[in-house]
Formats: sequence, structure tokens, C-alpha cells
Amino acid sequence: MPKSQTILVIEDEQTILKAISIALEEAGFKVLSAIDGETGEQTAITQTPDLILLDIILPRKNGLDVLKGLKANEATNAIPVILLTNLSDTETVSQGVALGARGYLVKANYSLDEVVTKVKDVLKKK
Amino acid sequence: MSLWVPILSLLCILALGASIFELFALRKARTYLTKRESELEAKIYEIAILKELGERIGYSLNTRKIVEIITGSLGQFIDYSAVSYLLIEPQSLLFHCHLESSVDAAFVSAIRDTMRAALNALTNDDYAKLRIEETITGAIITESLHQPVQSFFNIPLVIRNRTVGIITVASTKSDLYHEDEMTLLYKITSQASQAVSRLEEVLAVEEEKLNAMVASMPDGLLMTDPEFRIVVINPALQRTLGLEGNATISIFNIIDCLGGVLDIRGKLDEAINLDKLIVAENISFRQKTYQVLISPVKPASPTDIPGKQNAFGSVALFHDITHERELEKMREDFTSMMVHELRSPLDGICKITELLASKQRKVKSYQEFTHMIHQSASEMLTLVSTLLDIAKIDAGKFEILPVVTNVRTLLEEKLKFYRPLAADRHVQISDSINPALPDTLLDPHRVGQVINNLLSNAIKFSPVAGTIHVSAFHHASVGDINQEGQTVDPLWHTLETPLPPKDALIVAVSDMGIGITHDEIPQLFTKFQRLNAGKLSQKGTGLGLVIARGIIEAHHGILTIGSTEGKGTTFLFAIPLSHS
Repeated sequence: MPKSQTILVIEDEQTILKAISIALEEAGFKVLSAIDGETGEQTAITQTPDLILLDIILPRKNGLDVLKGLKANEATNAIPVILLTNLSDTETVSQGVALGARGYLVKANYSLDEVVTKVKDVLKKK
Repeated sequence: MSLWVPILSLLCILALGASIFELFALRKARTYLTKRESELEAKIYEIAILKELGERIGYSLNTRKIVEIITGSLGQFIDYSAVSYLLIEPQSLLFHCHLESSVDAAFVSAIRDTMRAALNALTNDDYAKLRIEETITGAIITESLHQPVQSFFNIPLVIRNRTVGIITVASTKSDLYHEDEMTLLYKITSQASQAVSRLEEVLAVEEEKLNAMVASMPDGLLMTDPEFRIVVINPALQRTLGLEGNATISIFNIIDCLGGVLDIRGKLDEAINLDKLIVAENISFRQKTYQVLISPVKPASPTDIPGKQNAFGSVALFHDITHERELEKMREDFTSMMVHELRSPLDGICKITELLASKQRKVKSYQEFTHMIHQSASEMLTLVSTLLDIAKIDAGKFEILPVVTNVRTLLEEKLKFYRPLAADRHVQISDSINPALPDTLLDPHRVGQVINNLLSNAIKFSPVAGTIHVSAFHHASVGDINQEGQTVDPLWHTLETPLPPKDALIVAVSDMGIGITHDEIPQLFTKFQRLNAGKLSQKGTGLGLVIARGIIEAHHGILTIGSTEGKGTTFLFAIPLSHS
């Protein structure tokens, strides 16, 4: 696992953002974070991380709109995005997958270890 | 002895006279009785005929059938060569002539022409142009006879004051018909007419009632016959389908309007064939959702044969369930939002404790983690309290604990807390709190909660570098609240009605946000509604304003709003001082 890999976590729930960030850092990733959609998208464009964990319900710009923006931008369209959601709303999730998300995690159903494993899996297939 | 002779003679003469008188009286009586008897016989005969006719006509509304029964039984008591009827049909005249004895064609034409002329005279209408459908039954036409019409009489057929036809009895014999014959036929016809008229009136009243009921039904109603011809389509369904004012609506118009969302023809057919009620749920068209019930229409006393032969057709009822579905959707959204709002902090706690529990992880700061757990737990507690407040407000059991409060101090404390938060977003909070605000009897914790809500909303919806203005003043018994507001608050937006009560404490928070349209205002205070289409961009339950209104109303006050779309909003609460 190369240590230089960077993960951008866009999540407005501070506690979860913190917990995921620590878990990822401990797994050897460099972690960038954003607590709203607009900032998150900007960070993605400027920092081009290796993978993005993206929440759906976000202030300023929702996750699906951020995803659309990322996929429309040449600089970011190849970055794999995993949707983070507390919604078990299948419609929203399938919308996200249709927009090009590589996967999704219903947060409450995944432990931090499983989140890290999922991130590693997606990066391997990149 | 000689004296007895004249006496006896006298007695004989007297007896003879008496006998003659008696004989006359007897003859007179017998004549009278014979006449009575024949009258009675005629009467009984007439009654018998009328009764039989009545039974045979029954409850028929078919004029032709009735006339046929009358003319068919006429031979029993009237001598004629031909009995005919001429009926007015929508597009033609129906002429039927039954010949009892052979006549020539001229005889039939003469009757027909006379009848048509009589009908013209009776109805003041000209039937010359109408096509005549002619049928002749009975004896054959023999051209060699050359016997003209010598006697005849017409009886008009009038139903509900409307001449519908004419019956004519004609004969080749002269001077055949007198008052008796005419009276009898007149009586029969008039009785039949009366029966039909009464029946038609009853039916018209019933039909009118039924039509009024169908027309005033809020649900759309369609009835078709087994060949899918439309029997009834009520105004509600015409509106629903956008077919108002369309004089000729066919099943194809309806199929077009439904645009494939419901196979109406198939369902109507299925209802008849399977002889059962079919329910089509959630049929959406023209921005509305309907439940459609399709049922066969059968006679009240059905025969044993199922299917089309036994049904008048089928009926479809379009029940608008748009509002129910919207409410259902709102409840579902509300529940899923609540689940989301509760699960997020709980998930946070789980994730943090997962970090804390893991021995492999280098736990840098227990204090930071416990703080985060505390924060998440507090969030959940707030939410549970919110739900409890909502439940109490809904149940009308929301309680406040009022104490005499210095509102100025309360507001200043809140401003002190919120100014730095606003500054983080480069939003400035200005204020104009009247120093002479009277102390007010209110629940400082609950009113503080309202102020928190208004300030945090104002910050949330303010543009970067925007301004929020907080004002508080006494709205006296006289004066215009909007003028008073504009004097102290540069961001004031004219308030919606109802306006705050007089002699009240006013606290207003104005912002430079996106504003709210007039139509959206009622939704602000609705439990299941959150504004802004971008639901995914919003955090929070949207219940703050619902609770705020509940709190202010518990103080006998009002929470109201003034807004200009694109410019900003003024939220205001007023607490009457007279209640203090």
C-alpha cells in the first residue's frame, strides 16, 4: 500500500468525518476533508485525490451534484468516488451509481475497518 | 142484483186499467232494466278491456308496443276495415295499417294522408318532409275493390301534453261510428297515455335525481354499454380528463386522455366478463393520482347467464387520491428524515467508540473523542426533545413556565452567542432593541429557543457578507406595525396578515436571504414540509419553526413573517403584554 495515496472525505457530520479520517490515516492514507459540497468539489479539483468518499446530504451543494461536477471535469472524472450515505433510499443510491460512483456505503452498516477495506478494494481496481 | 153489474163492470174496468198501467209500468221498467243491463255490460266490457290492456301494457314506455296492443284488441268491440297508427319518431314517421278486410291501395293512402294531415294540425308542425316507414298487416290489398273510406275517426295519442301519434279507425261502410265507439277508444288511449305519462314523470324525477347526484359527484364517473358506447360521463370526469365542453365524447377520447396509464377499455370489458369489481391503484395523469374502481352494471334481478348478455355495461369511478398520496409521501419523507437525523449522530458515536475500543489504534486524544461522543449524544437528545415538543404541540399539551423576564437581557445574551457564529460566515448582526422594553411575563427558556431558531435560520440563509437585523419594541394600542418596523429595522419586510395584536412585545429578525414566496409561507409551519427543492442540501429536521410557532402560541402570541423573494425575510413574534 503506497503511503502517498490521498483520500478526500466530504462529510458534514463532524464526528463521522473525524472517525473516518483517523481510521484512514491509521491505515496509511493521507486524508483531506471538506464539510460541504462546494468546498469538497474545489478540493477535489485542486488536490486531485486518489479516491473520494462523498456524503450525499451536504450543505451548499449536495453529493449528487458534486458527483456530476466531478464527472464533468476532466481533472477529476477519473477519480473513483464512493458514496457515503445514511439514506437507505435506493433511488438516490442508484442515481449516484448512474452518475458514475464506484460504490456506496450505508454508513451505519459499515464499521470503520470495513470502510477502509472498501477504499482499498476500489483503489486496487482503479 | 142489478146493482152488482155496474159495480162489477166498474171493477173490471178498474182492474183492466190497473193491469194496463201495470203492463206499461212493467214494460217501462223492463226497458229501463234492459238498458241498464246493456250499459252495465258495456261498462264491464270496457273495464275488462281496459284492465286487460293495462296488464298487457304493464310498465312499458314503448309507445309503439302500447299502440300495437290497443289497436290489436280493438276488433273485439269496434267494426272496422282498417285500424292504423302513425307515430312520430326522431327521424321518420311510423305508419302501421292493419286491414280487417281487403281494401285497395287508395284506401290505405287516403287513411295515411288523413292521419298525417291530422297530425300536422294537432302539433302545428309539418311532417310532409319526414320519411314514412310503412307496414301493412292483415287482409290483402285488392286493387279491384275500389271502396273508399266511408267512416273513420282519429284519436290522438298524447303523452305528458305532447302529441306523439295518432290512431285511426276506418271503414268502407258509411255512418258506422258514433259517440260510443269513439268514447271507448278515447278512454282506452287516454288511460294508456295517462299511465305512460305518470311513469315517464316518475322516471324523469328519478332520472333527474340520479343525474344531479352523478353530476355533483366529486369523483369522476363513466358508464359504458357492452359495446363501449358512453352512456354516462359526469362533469367531474370531463374536467379530470380535460374534455369539458366536448359534446361528443367516445371511448377513444378517453383512451387518448389516459395516454396508456390505464387500459380503460380492457378493464371495462374485464369487469363485465369476470363479473367482478376491478381496482386500479395509483393511476396518474394530468398531475393527479387516482384510484379507479371498475364494476359491471347488472340488472337488479340478474338472470343466470354471466357475462355480457346479462350486463347493461360497466362503470368506472375515478377517485382522486392525489392529496392522500402527497400526505403519505410527506409522512414517509418525514420518517426517513427522522431516521437519518437520529442515525447520523448515533453512527458517529459508534464509529468513535470503535476507534476507542481498538487497541491497535494509537488513541491520540481520549478527551477529543469523548467530546465528540458528547456532541453526538447531545444532538440526539435535542432531536428527541424536538420530537417530544412536536408531539405535545400536536396534542395541545404544550406547557410553558412564564416568569417576569427582561427581554432586552435575554436578546443581548443570544446576540452575544450568535455574533461570532455569524462572523464565521462573514455575516453581520445589527440590532435595535428598545432600551425601554417592559419586563414581560414569558418562559425565558422557551422564548430563548425561538430566538435561537430565528437567529440560526437567518445565519443559515444569509448570503456571505450579508446583514441580519434584530429589533425589539413595544407595539402599542395605536400605530401601524409595518411603519414601526421600518423605522427601527432597515431590512424590514412588510408582514403577512394576520398582523400582531396591539399592546404586544415585538421581536423581529430580518435577513438578506433568498426570501420565501407567498405560496410557500404556509408550508413553513407544516410538520412534514421543508422548503427548497434541494432537500439533499439541507440538514436538520425543519421542525424548528413548527416548535417556535407552538411556543409563541402558548404565550397567546403570534409568529409571523414578511418576505420579498430574492431580497430577504422578516420573522417576527409578538407576545401580548395584557396577558403578562
